[in-house]
Amino acid sequence: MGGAHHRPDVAVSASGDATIVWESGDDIGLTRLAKVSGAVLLTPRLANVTTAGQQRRPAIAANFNGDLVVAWESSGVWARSFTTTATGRHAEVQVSTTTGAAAPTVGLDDQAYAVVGWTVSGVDGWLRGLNPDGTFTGRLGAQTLTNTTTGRQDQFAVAVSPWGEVPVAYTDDNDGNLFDQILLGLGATNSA
Amino acid sequence: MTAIKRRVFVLGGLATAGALALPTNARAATPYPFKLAVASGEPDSSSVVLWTRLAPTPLNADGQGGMPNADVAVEWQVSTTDTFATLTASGTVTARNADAHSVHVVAGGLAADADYFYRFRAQGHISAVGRTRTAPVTGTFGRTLKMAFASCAHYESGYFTAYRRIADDRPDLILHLGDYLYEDATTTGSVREHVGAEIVSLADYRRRYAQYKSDPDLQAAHAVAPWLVVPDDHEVENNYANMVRADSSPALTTAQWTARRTAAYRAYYENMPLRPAAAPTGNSIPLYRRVRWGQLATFHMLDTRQFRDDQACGDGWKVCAAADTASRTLTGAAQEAWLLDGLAQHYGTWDILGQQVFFARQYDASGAASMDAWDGYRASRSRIQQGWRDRSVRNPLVLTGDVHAAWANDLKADYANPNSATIGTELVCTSIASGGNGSATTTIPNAATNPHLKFYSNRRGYVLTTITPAEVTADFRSIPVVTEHGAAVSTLRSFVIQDGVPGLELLDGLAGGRSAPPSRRGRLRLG
Repeated sequence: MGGAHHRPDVAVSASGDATIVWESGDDIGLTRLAKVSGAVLLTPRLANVTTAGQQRRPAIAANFNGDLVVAWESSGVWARSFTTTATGRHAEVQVSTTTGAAAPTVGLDDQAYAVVGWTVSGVDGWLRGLNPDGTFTGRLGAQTLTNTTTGRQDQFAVAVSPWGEVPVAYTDDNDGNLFDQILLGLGATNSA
Repeated sequence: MTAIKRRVFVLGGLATAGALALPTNARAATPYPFKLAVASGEPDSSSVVLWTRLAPTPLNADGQGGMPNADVAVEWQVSTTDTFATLTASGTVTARNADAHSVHVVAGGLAADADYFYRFRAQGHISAVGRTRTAPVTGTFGRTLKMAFASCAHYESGYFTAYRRIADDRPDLILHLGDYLYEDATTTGSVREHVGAEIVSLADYRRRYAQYKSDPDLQAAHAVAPWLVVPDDHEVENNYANMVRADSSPALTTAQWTARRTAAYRAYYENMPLRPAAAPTGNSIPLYRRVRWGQLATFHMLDTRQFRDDQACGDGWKVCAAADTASRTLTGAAQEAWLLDGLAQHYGTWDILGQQVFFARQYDASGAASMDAWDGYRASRSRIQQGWRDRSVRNPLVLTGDVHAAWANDLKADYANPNSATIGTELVCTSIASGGNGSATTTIPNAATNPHLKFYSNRRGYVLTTITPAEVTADFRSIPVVTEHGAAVSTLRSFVIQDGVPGLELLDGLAGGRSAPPSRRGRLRLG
C-alpha cells in the first residue's frame, strides 16, 4: 500500500492473532498478523469505503470471537464494523453529531455491539453506541460522558467489557489551572 | 436518546504520584449480573422457556456467583424485533437465592412457527438479547427446520469454536445430547483449565456450570436458537449407571454418592432451559419427554443413564454374553413403554430419538463391543427396533453423541446379516471439544465386521440437519483445530434420508459436494 504510514492501533481476539489499523496515506489500512510468526493472515486492505478526503487517526477493538470495529477521523468521527474475517458489515457511518469531533477511541462487547468515544474541540468527551449493522437503535445515544463539561476534558478513552459495560477515562482540567487530572468513569452500559 | 444519569457515574481521580485517590463522590455500582448470558428451550406451538442465572462473579467457590443471599426480581421481555420496540409478552420472575438465582420463564401466548427475541433486566442492568422461536401447530408442517445437534464439550480440551460455528449457521433449533460439562479436576497445562477439584457438592456443580456458561462461544450458541437438552454421564460422573458408580474416585459413601447425584441433577435443571415439569424430585429428575414439531417431526428425548442396568462384564470393550440377557435395559421398562407408545402415535413425519450412546451394532474383529453403549444392552435395542417396526414407524431417526467422533449408520433388522432390511438411520455428532483436535482420518473403524457403518470422522464439530416433509439432509460440520480459537468450519460429508426410505444416501460423493449446484450434486445409495 502506498503513501506514508503512521499511527497504528492494534487489537487481539482469543485466537491471539493481531489485527492492526494505521494511517495509510489518506486512508485507513487494515491487516492481521499471526501471533507466533507474524505471517500475514489478511492481506492489507482499506478499512474505509469512502476514500475522498482524508481519513486519520484510526482506533480498533476486537472481542473474544474476533469481531472488529474501527473508527477514524474524517471531518467528524466515523466507524465501521467487520466480521472476524474483516469483511465489512456496513459502510462507515458518521458517529459524531457535532463539529470538532476528533481522536476516536473504540470498544466492542461479545455481542459485537460497539462504543465509539471522541473528543470535541479538545474540551469535551463524547461517546455513542452502535449495533453491528451500523445502526444506533437500542444503544447508548450520543452524549458527553464526563463528570462535568465545565472547562477542558480531553484525551477521552473508552473500553467495553464482554457484557457491554463501558468505562471511560479522560484528562480533566475543569478549573483551568493547568494541573490536569485523569478521571475514570464506571457504571455505564451500552443500552439505551 | 437515553442520557446516562450522573449518579451511576463513579469517578476516581488518579493523583499525580500515580496512587489512586479515593473518589469523594463515588457510589458502588451494582455489578453486572448477566455474565452467564441467556438461553431458551423446549418450544411448543405457543410458548418457550427463557433462562438466565444472575452471577456477577461466576467463579465464586460457594456456587452463588457473587449474588447476595436474597431473592431478586428479574423482568423479562419477548418481542418480534431485537430492538424490542413493541413487546409480545413480558413479566417479572423471582430469581431465588435457593436456586442460585436461576430463572425458568415459560413465555406463553406466542404465535406458532414464529421467531422471537428476548432479554432480561435486573438490578438496573439489561442482558444480552437471545433469539428463539416456536414450533408449528399440530397438523401443520411449518417452515423447513434447520436443526443442529452436538455433544461433549470438555472445557480443558479446547475452545468451543464449534459452538460459535453453530451460532454462525443460525439454526432454528439445537439439540444437545449430553456431556455439556465434565466433572474432573483441573489438569495443569490444559488448553484451558477447570476451576477446582473434581466436583461433588451442589456448590461445585453450580460453579462448574458457571465456568462453562462464561464461555462466549457457548453463550452465542444459546443465544441463537432454543435448545432441547439431555444429559449423559459427565453431568454427574463418568460412566455411572443408575445408582452404580463406575469407580470409587473420589471415595464416597452410598449416602454421599446419592447426595452427589442429586446435587448434579439439581444443578443441571438450574442451568438448563428446561420446563418446570423437568425440575428434580427426590433423588431423580424427570427428563425423558416428547417435543412435537407440528406434523414435521417428533423429538423423543431419552434418558439412558438414570434407569439403566449396570454395564455388563465390568464395562469397557468386551466380548460379553451377558450383554444379551433379555432382561437387561438401557432405558428402564417405563421409559421403553413410553417411547414405544409415543412412536405408535405417528405424530409427525420424522420420529427423531435424541439420545446419548452409540445405537448401531459395532463389534470389533474379536466380537468385543462397548458395554456402555446399546451393544451392552442388546435385548433393549432389539425391543425398541422391533417395536418401531411393529408399529409401522415410517421414519425412525436416531441421534447420538458420546463417542467424540462423527458417524453415520444404517440400522439393520439383523446386524449379523448385511442383506437384512435397513430399518432406520443413526447420525452421530462428534464432540465440541472433547478429545482435542483429533485427526483427519475418515477410515471407518471395524468396517469389515459392521458394513452398516457408512461414515466416520475423528474431527470436532457438529451435525447440521435440514428437515422437510420429503427428506432430512445431514451436513457433518468439521473443525480442524480446537486447541486454538477461531478455526473455520467446513462440511466434510452430507447425507440425505428420504421420507419412507430408511438409511443413508451420500449427497456429495464425487459430484462436488454441497457447494456444487443441485443439478451437479450426486446421490449415491449406500448398499
